[in-house]
Amino acid sequence: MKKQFFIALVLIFIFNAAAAQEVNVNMGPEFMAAKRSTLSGIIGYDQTGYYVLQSKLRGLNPQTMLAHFDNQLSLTKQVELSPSYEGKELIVESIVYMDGKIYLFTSFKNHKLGKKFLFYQTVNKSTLTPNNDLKKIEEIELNKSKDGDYWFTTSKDTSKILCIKNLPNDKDEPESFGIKVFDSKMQLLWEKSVELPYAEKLFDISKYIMSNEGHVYILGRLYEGKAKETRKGKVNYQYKIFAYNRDKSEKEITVSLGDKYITDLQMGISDAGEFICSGFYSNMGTHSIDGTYFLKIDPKNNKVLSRHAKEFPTDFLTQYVTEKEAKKIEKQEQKGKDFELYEYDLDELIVREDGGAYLIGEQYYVRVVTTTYSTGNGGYSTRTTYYYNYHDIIVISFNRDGSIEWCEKVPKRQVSTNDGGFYSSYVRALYNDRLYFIFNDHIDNLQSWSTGKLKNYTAGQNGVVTLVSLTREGKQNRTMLYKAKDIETITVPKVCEQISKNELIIYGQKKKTHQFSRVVFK
Amino acid sequence: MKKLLLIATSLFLSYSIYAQTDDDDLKAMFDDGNISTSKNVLKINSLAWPAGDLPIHYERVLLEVLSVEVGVGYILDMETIEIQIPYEDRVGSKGNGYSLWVNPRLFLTGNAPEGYYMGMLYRRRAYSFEYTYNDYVIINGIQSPFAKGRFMVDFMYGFGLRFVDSGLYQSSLPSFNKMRMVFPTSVKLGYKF
Repeated sequence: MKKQFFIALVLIFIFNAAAAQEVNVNMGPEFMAAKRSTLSGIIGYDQTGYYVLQSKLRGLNPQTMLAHFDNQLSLTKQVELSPSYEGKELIVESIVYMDGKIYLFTSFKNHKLGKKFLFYQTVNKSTLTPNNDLKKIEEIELNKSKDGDYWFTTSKDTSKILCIKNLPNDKDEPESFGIKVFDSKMQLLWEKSVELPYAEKLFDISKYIMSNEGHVYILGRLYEGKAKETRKGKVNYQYKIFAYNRDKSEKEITVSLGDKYITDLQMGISDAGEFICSGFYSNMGTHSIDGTYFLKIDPKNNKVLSRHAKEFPTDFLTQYVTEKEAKKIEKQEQKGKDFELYEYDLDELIVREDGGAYLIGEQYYVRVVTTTYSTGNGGYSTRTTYYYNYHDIIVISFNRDGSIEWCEKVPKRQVSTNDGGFYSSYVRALYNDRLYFIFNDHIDNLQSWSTGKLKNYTAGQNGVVTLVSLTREGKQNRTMLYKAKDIETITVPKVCEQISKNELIIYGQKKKTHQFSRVVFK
Repeated sequence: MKKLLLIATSLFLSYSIYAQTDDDDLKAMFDDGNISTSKNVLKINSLAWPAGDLPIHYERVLLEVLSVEVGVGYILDMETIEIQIPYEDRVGSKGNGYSLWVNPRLFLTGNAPEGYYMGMLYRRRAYSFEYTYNDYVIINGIQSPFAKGRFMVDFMYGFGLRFVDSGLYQSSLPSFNKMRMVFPTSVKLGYKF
């Protein structure tokens, strides 16, 4: 007992000291969970604590678990969700927290009727089991070989939920889908059936969002002739945005930069209701990026308010790299040859209250190495190793008019093997227009992060959890949140989440030991 | 007062009817002829005939992810085509006979009997000319519904060892030929009930 008290005191001291005046860290108790289980997401919280989704693998099947943690981050209840109706199993499609209620969305495929039905029911917050109030909200006619899908998203203020039914069309049929928007009490606000003038095989829906007012935006990639990124050395696709307003008006907007490749796009909605779409483009292909694209639309009349494409400045490309690398880049640029940033994924577009936005990306790629070795008895064997690379984060801040305000790199180096990069990547938070990034790092990088000479993160003695803050002006500050060796678990940044204006939940896991902690921004 | 009672009664009745309708509608949506809850599949094996084997298989779901398939077949007295290493030493007739199949399966995706599975297969083929094969095989397979879910297609492949017991001929068999590698493959069509 004394020992535990002493450890608790030490931990409190460490985490308060590590908070670096910007944040407070409250560690929850460790808890044991099934071997092949992990956190899927935090769905909501109320005065009693947090509701989280966990997933457990049974065979190769993920099982959904719903759990409740109190405000001290202790596990109070955990239930495996296996919804059924009169002995017939329902497939869990989504779980959403709206207006203080947990809604469970499930589907049932009725082969006899040739239909896949979509239902919702509320979940009892005390028992975490579904209530007996199952209601049908949608159905899909099954195709011979396809079932169709249901997709969900909520508005930013969680006052509405969008349900898209993606119909199981044949590849030559027009792409078609259904939209239904419900309020937080699951009353249908409006619906629409859409048939696009493009064949299913040539149009891929990539993202969809909904504004607080219930306007729906769908982003997709349209290929020309064949679903290939490049044909005869030229860009073979363009992005399309479809805006569907609650008053049933609609607009199709083409996002194209001629012979430039738009590698990825993200969508967001400002507090004033303006629709913003932004992303990266490249001159070379879809594996590198050369600049950013920005588009703003007035939702009232779907009029384009601003549209910009801007190359990354050279000082951004040379930021936080070694002197040798910087000189090489500068030389290349002076010769008129393009230098591009390689393998950056576009993660997020955050629209600020002032109407400007942050665009966040991360360098991510997988390297596969196959080695052949002698088995010693005259035979040979091969071994394949997957190297998961999660490196620098980039942040581009846009002004309200879409021009670039500043670009900043957050250098990091995370390489792991054969683990899917489980402990790599980052979690971000936004508080008072200041961006925060939390990730696993090497302790030496706290000093050398700006020199371009980074050490790879490894769990253990040299592992730290780093907090990087970016001010509204793009000034970067890096501090240690806590040392990896001070806790029993390893932080899993990919599943951590900002749950309220000033709170972020951190999740740690090592084998069967799991732990939540709370970061409060000051 | 009468009016109030009438309104209350009609409100109650309309609510009951509404609730009843809701429940009936749900029941209709879930009425799939018990296809989704059926635990039995009867199958024929379309790839066993080259081995002269005409089996019928029956699969029973035991747990959510576990099932067992058993089969019994009549073996025709005919020239057979089957991949074995080393290759079949005995040419000509082994006589007719019977086959027995026992195959427990663990479903890694989906719930039994649908999805990707792994398992073990014990197969015995006994011929009238005192010739018996005992096969012990590790298998992989995938079983999917088609034609409104009532019918199933089961594709399975595996590799394992065959132990040959040739009775009267045993002494004449070279020792290396008493154990062989076999690669059973099957495409079965089944009816779920």
